[in-house]
Amino acid sequence: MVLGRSKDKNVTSSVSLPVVDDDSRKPQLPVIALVGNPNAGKTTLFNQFSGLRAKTANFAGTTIDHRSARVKFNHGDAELLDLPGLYGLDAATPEEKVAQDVLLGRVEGMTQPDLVLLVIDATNLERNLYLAARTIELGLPTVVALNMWDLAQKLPTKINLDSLTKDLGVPVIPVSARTGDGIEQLRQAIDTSLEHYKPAIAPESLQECSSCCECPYAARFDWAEQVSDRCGVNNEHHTHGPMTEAIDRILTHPVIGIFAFFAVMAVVFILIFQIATYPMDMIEAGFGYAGAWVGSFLGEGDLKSLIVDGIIGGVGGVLVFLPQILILFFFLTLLEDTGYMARAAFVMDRLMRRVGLPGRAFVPMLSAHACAIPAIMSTKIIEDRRDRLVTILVLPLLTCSARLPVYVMLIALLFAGNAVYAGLAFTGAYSLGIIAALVMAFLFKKTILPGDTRPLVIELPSYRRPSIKTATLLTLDRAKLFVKKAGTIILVLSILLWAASTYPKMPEGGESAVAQQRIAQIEQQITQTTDETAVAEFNNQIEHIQAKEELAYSVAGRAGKIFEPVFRPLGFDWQINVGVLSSFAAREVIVSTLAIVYGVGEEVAEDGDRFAQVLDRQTREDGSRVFTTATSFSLLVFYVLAMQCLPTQAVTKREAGGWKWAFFQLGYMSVLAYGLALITYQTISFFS
Amino acid sequence: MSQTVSPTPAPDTPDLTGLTPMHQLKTHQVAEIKYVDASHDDIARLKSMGICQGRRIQLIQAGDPLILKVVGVRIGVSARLAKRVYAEPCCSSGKKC
Ligand SMILES: Nc1nc2c(ncn2[C@@H]2O[C@H](COP(=O)(O)OP(=O)(O)OP(=O)(O)O)[C@@H](O)[C@H]2O)c(=O)[nH]1
Ligand SMILES: [Mg+2]
Repeated sequence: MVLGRSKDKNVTSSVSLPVVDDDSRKPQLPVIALVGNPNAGKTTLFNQFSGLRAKTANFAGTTIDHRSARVKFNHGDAELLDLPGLYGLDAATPEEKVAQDVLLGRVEGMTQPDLVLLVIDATNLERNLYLAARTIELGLPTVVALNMWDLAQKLPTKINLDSLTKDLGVPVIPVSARTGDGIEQLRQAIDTSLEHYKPAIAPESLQECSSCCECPYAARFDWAEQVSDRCGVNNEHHTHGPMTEAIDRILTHPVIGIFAFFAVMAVVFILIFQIATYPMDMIEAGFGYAGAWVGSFLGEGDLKSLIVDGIIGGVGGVLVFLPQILILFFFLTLLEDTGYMARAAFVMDRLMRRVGLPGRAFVPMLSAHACAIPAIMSTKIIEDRRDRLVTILVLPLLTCSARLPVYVMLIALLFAGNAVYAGLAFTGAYSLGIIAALVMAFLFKKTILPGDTRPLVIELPSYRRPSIKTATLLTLDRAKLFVKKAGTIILVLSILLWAASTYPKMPEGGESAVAQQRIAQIEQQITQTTDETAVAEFNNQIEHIQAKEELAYSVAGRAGKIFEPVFRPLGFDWQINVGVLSSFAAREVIVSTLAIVYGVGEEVAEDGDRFAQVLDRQTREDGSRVFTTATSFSLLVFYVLAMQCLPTQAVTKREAGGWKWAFFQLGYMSVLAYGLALITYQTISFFS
Repeated sequence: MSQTVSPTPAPDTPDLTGLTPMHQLKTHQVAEIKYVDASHDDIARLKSMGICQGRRIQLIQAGDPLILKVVGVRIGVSARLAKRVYAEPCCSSGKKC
């Protein structure tokens, strides 16, 4: 049994309560923990109490975040804590483990909750009563919220509340978290309980279970059956309607189920990319406007460049991806809420197991197609540590939205004007990422993190109408969290990157001889024309040349030259190297870097086809084309597979538990990207 | 994957005659769980979801993973785990065995 194994001195045996003298409790608010089976309605109930006041924070010593809110009761304020769902006290996933640890008072810096608000799904009393038994046995003050009362009322059998209250030995309040019915009564019950601090005393029938030696599970399930019998509920009556059964015949079908899964996901992704363009355009325009507006207050010089290009430009460049990420979250939460995600994990398990990953790993893998950061954060639903590590390691191989601008640029370069080939190339790039991720996962499971995949055990809940409100609140929380976590790293990175491409400053007249010649030529042409637009155009050209020269002089530019021998076998020249190196921290940066390197303005860089034409005209010193088919393909393969995202690495470090894994991830992905780009370049060059 | 068919017999292995491993039940067949071989780490998880001695289960969908119904809930389980659960099929899908 779990309790017996505990080394924590706070948790001695099941019934006795850790003695906490009232003084040490004073400065803290009393803590009310929401405990219940998955899908019992804890979060919905939490939202009823908290509204928009919820805060999201990490549990100490873990990376699992929880939502808490200060709630007013007559007796005084209390802190309400929303916990992940539990089946019993045999936690398997890190999330369940945290919920269990909170309940048992094993989380560092947290005392055991002062009150347990046990949420029971009234439409499935018997199963929920098992956890109720385990919780009541802990002997903490407990109030039961008998949730889904609206649904339970529609069922043929009625729950006898008096009998249930008697059997549980704690107050039982029927509520409907969704409609808000019964919340007032629940509030009063909590109030009374907080005031009197009355520990739960396990009823006699239950005490027999804990002392029974045969099978502690069986004993409690027997108890649960008796209790629900006594209050007039026979579990054969409740359970899934015929609807769920019928839908499941399709969605969990070994073959049709998989097609259904891909169809659902295709729709979700199409919606994401469709809807996200509007807010993305707005964010882009907003940051552009902000940059210009702030810039107008600052004189020309480094400060302006730092603030406008470095900070506003850099942060804006990353925040444009936020809408996609949030819309993805929103849809995934909705799907989760309908009960479909469990089916998806069920059908995918068969496929994922082939590469050694559990079916649950598909959710992070899906999310990674928007952004690896939330994907890595969502690997907490995977039970086994090795499975989780392997998933984290391969997630950044999947094509995230930051790669899209790079794909757009390179594919326009390769297949300008041929929509079919361009489409195929996009599909190919996505597929390469997926295949690489699966193959690497397979290899890791065979070598560095060996072990059987954990067998699937997943509840397939009844289908439900999802709650838009819950999904919206959760998404807003995520948004805050993402901006806070990724934001700081991105801010620092933007400044560093800006510095590397700005310093050291080129002295007056420090341009290379070729550039000086070119400038002189253009200046000559200016004197020969009187057309104002032509003059402006010439001046523009000079500015571009100077920008390029300044970049070449900077740390970034020099590094590009130093790395020439390294990247030559891939077909990159020093200018591409500058792009590759500058995108070490954030891959999409290559587009704007190449724009500077090849002397085109922002507007052109954003127009894939026009930019491609400019790139296509570039020549090397010996006059040959820079972006040959071989180089373009090689660069594309490189960008599909390379790590190039420092925020992701920071998250890997957090979630995998150490820089070691982040470095390993960077290392293997770099080798993979380099190796395959090399093969690509050499093969294509050989045949053409 | 590794389908090691070596249910290390515990010293107190009960008499398994007349019992069917859960993954071999027929679709829609109802059975009562008689014995669970707890030698796998994930068995505790199954048990806290109700797959333990004395519960009645119904096989909803055969295969790997399979779907079964226990205490009114449908649960998807790998055949790997399911075969460690031994059940006695009931005569009909009636209430009591
Ligand atoms: N009809 C009805 N639906 C409810 C009620 N309470 C919750 N739900 C729905 O039940 C589903 C699950 O609710 P959640 O609040 O997410 O459940 P949870 O306990 O937080 O689940 P986990 O976080 O997964 O453990 C949602 O679709 C809710 O809208 C209720 O009282 N009546
Ligand atoms: Mg919840």
